[in-house]
Amino acid sequence: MTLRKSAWMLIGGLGIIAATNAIALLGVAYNRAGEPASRVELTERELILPVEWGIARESSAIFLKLRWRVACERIEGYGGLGAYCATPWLSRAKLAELGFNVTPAADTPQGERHYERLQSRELYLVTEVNGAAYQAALAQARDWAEKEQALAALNPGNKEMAERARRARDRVREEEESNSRLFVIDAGRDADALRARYPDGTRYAIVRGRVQPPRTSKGQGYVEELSIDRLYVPRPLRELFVPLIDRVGRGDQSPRPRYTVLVAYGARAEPWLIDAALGSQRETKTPQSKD
Amino acid sequence: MNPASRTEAQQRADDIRVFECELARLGEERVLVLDGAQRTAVREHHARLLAEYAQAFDVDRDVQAKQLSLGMRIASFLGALALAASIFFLFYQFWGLLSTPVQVIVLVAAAVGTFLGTLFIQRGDGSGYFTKLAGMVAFACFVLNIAMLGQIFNITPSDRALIPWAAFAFLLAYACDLRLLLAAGILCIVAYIAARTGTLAGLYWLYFGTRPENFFPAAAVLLLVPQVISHDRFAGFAAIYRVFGLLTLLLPVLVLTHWGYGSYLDWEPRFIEGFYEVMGFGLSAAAIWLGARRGWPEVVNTGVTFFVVFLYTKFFDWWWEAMPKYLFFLVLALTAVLILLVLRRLRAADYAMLRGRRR
Repeated sequence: MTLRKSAWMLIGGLGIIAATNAIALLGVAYNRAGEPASRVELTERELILPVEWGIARESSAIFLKLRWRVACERIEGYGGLGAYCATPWLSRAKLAELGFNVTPAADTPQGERHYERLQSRELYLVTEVNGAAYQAALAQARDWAEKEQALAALNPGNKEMAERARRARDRVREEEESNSRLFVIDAGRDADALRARYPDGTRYAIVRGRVQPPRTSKGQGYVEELSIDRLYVPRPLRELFVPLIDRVGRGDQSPRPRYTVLVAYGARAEPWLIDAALGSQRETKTPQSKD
Repeated sequence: MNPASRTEAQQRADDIRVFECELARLGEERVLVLDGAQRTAVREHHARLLAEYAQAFDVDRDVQAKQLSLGMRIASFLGALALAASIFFLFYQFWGLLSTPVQVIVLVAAAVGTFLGTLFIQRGDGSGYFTKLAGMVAFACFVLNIAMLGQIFNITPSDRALIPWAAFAFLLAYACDLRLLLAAGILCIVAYIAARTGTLAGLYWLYFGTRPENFFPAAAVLLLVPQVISHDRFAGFAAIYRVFGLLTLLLPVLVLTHWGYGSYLDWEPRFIEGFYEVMGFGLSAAAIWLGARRGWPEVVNTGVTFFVVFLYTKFFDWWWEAMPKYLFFLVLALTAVLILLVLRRLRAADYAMLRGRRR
């Protein structure tokens, strides 16, 4: 290789490495510059220590996984707990507003094919923590428990009714103590418009995620996934979680939530951890992440 | 003429070996006998060339050396993969214990260090085996660098990361004559173009594979590159572009022949599958024809492979259930014979055309 070619290669290679790292780090700096768009306090109910398996067990890094939900019309069984139930606010009008073509009539083979082929899109989502959506889910669980209790009282000796009443009571307790209070409540194509509609940055965060339109003409859309649902724990906060990791997946019965975390969302809707503390209330004595 | 790369030097060394064998045969058959001075001049010239090539490019001087070289190529490829994996797991094991600035410094230093190491190794590595190993590790470190930054800072995954990865792989490939890295760069660029095509059609970028037609623009780009940009100085590069171009074109077509729902076309799925069956046969036949016309054996081979695959999958659909198995396999065998006859005629026509050109 000639000297000139070597010089070009050296400049080119170092240029690619430097430029790519610079662009990535400038993006991070832009996201985290100034006052965060949102600073939400989450507990272990919303941000869990996932059980790592396979080669992930080799990693010394710690991630926390967001446990989010959507409001569901159904509550029986596992209804209302998962992320994949049909989402009432994702109506056809809302899907059209989000840019999905849901106008074709579905009663023709062509229309059916159209709905089968609709694919999810990445949009901005609004998450709400411990807000109206959670209160509605709690009230829904309590209503259900009251109804089941009343049915069991009307049918004394009916084991099935008694079991249903017990499950409904357990559900109320879970909603009060352990179920996630983080709900995806809205979606849009414009982050600024959503921020204007949900200005309270301590309760609402604008994040990126995917919405899947209905696959059939009668179905409803649902929130498929958040684009970032694993949050890296920087070293200054790491020591707090190390003792808890060993107990993950080993039937640890210690009272929950065991920790509280302050999560910030920046200008690019990307999150980072800024503080964490043991217990259900965050105290200021824990050192904040300087990373 | 001084060869620009090891591949060209190796080609010349192989030609010299073939020439010596043929010259010996011609001498035995009394067709051409060089006198003593001519023989000495040719032998000395070849010996000098081979010595120069051996010193500059570490070429294989005989068949045994060539066989050993194949083993070395495989060993360097496996070694590169293992070394890249080792670096990944080393970082993976300790990165959580490092502060964020140190993590960033380590990641950038690994990418820069392995890149500089590749340049340094290349200066003294005529064979290219160690350069290939170092180049692969440098590429892996750069991929690790950007991927890990994404994890550390919770950056939204984006297809844009594929651009610098492709650029870095191409730089190493062209500067160090590394076909393996050319393939890596091509894969990155295929993924990027397909992701962009999918995004334009409203898909989430990572779901580009759910619509096989997203790969067609990338196929067109790959097939055009060696036509527009001369690769005479890079032995084998044009062939790699053409093979990847055909794979990027014909594999999605093969998928669409069985999965009409995956198409953007607003037609009946069965009709789409039929359309792509016709396209598959047409495109693979066209590849065979074009490859034979232009003297591109890799295009002919890829075209033949896909033509046979399209044909056999159709036979399977039509006759596997309906026919006795001995008859089914007999039909396959007869088809193979038919393809051989067609290819032989094509070859004969090619020779006739070449003879016509010479006259």
